[in-house]
Amino acid sequence: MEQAISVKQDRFKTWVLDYSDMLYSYAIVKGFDHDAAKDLVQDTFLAAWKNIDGFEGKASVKNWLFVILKNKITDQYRKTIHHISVDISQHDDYFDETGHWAKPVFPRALVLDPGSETEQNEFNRILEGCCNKLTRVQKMVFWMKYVDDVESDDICGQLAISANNYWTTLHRAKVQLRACIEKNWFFVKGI
Amino acid sequence: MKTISCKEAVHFILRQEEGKLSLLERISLWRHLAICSLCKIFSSQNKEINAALKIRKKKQYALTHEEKERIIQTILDDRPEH
Repeated sequence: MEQAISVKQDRFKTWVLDYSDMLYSYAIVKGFDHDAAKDLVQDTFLAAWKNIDGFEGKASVKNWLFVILKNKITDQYRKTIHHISVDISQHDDYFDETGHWAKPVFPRALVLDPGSETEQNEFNRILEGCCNKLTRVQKMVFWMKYVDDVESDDICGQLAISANNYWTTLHRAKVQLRACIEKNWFFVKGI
Repeated sequence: MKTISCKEAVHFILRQEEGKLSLLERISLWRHLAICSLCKIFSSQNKEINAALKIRKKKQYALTHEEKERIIQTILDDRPEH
């Protein structure tokens, strides 16, 4: 009996050592900060440990852990969406009443040199900072779409929001993000 | 054919990413982009952002060995004794 437990514990330890970085990276890419990502990884392994007898190597460990983590992330998202309502007001800072770009935020071409690694790094750094400025609902929709490649219909289903809310949210997130990137980009370039 | 506003054009560009535009909508968007330099800029910025998001997706982060050990300890020590 004692021996069975220690075999189980050893197996569990190798899972943490082998897969925690992958899970951690995934949570960060999905928009969680480092501490929140760490908590998610810990919760995932805790759930895995509790269900270790039910697992029995049916699927690959990696896939199984990712399923647990993804469910935990969806739970967090759902909780958030219950607390914060999706903004569907007609007011929009980026377009005037005729639907034309509002003058202060006319898009300007970024003139990004795709061959330059420094420029690409700078762009990624700005992108990261600007993504952090999105609202939680915007982040949720954004990461489901651009990290998990989930289709809009499924995102609406998973978050229980209407298609209209989804498109409004995505639209605002993208327009806001590009304005933020542009502002910082030209600031860095001194233009 | 109905002409579309910039706000609608942005909406169409985003829906196009998912292949969700009808033929008529595609033509409307194409006609709008042909005459609207601002939306053309938005469209290329959007592509740049999407490309960067793809790269960002592959970024790897690592926990320190101590952090991993702590996860193991916290979980295994929490186990109720039978």
